[in-house]
Amino acid sequence: MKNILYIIILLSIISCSQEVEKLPILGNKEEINGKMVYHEVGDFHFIDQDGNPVTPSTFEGQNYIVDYFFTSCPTICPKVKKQELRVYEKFKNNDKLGYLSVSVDTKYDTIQKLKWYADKLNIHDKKWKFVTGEKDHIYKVAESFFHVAMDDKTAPGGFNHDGRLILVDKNKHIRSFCDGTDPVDVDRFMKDVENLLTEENE
Amino acid sequence: MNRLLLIIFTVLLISIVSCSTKGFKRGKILYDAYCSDCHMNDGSGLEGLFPPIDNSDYLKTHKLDLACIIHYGLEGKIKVNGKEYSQKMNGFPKITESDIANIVNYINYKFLGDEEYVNIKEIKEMLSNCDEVIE
Repeated sequence: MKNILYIIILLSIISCSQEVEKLPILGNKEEINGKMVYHEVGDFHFIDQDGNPVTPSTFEGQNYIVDYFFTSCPTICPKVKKQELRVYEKFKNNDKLGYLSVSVDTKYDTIQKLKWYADKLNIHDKKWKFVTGEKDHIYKVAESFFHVAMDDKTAPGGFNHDGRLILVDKNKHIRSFCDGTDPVDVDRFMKDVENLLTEENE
Repeated sequence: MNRLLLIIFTVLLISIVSCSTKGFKRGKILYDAYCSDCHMNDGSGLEGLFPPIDNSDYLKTHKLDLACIIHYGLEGKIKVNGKEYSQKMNGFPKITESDIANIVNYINYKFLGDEEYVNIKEIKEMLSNCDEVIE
């Protein structure tokens, strides 16, 4: 009887420790001099809701979730924000996870407007940057963020309307993404985020 | 005999259930298409940006304005369940009166716990008195 108990305990330990599977690195990759080189998100320089510059170094040592939106968006953006808030609530106390919401409406979404929007969403947290920048730059950077998620580049509205959340790790690698309008897909995404955070703690 | 009773009971139950949701089927489709982007499918709204529809005290006290709000939109500050909202809502002038009735009935039934049925005639009446609402 005692033996069986030991076996059960042993089995449960083994199965638990195997549960966390390492998240893949997404996007194009190529072997250079025998070393695998993965797609990295490009450099960026934006300005956040407090007027502070936001660059990759803002997220140094941090993973972060990226989305593209605009404050007056009448279609899918509110639904994506609702889901993103769910992710934020779940990982609220984790300092290793930041948020980057990039507005595509450079005309209307001023710094003040972004501040207003963050306030209305009840986000008063330095970890979540609502940013604007130069239009061409915003679109160029989007290509590198959404590199793995662009199924159909000719779709109307393009990436700015596809409502994806992208998970970028400390090494600028894209590790997961989801359809931010779909609560079920966001559930799966949150597990990926959790796995990434656990992976790094090991 | 028992089996027969069971069958009759089941048929009755199914017909009751299907009847009670039937009228709101189109209302739900329309709500999901026109309203849910901002107010969410479950009517929960979005923080301080878009007010909730579900259990909204504002709607409960503005029942006769609902048709006008859908048709003309809403501007200015309102207070819903203790929270202030100021984002302008655009109207949907293309939605027909009968479809406004469908949406209003769905919202009343699903989110405000009111089973009273509003007909097209009443919607027409509401729409002809919108001036006081939209200022």
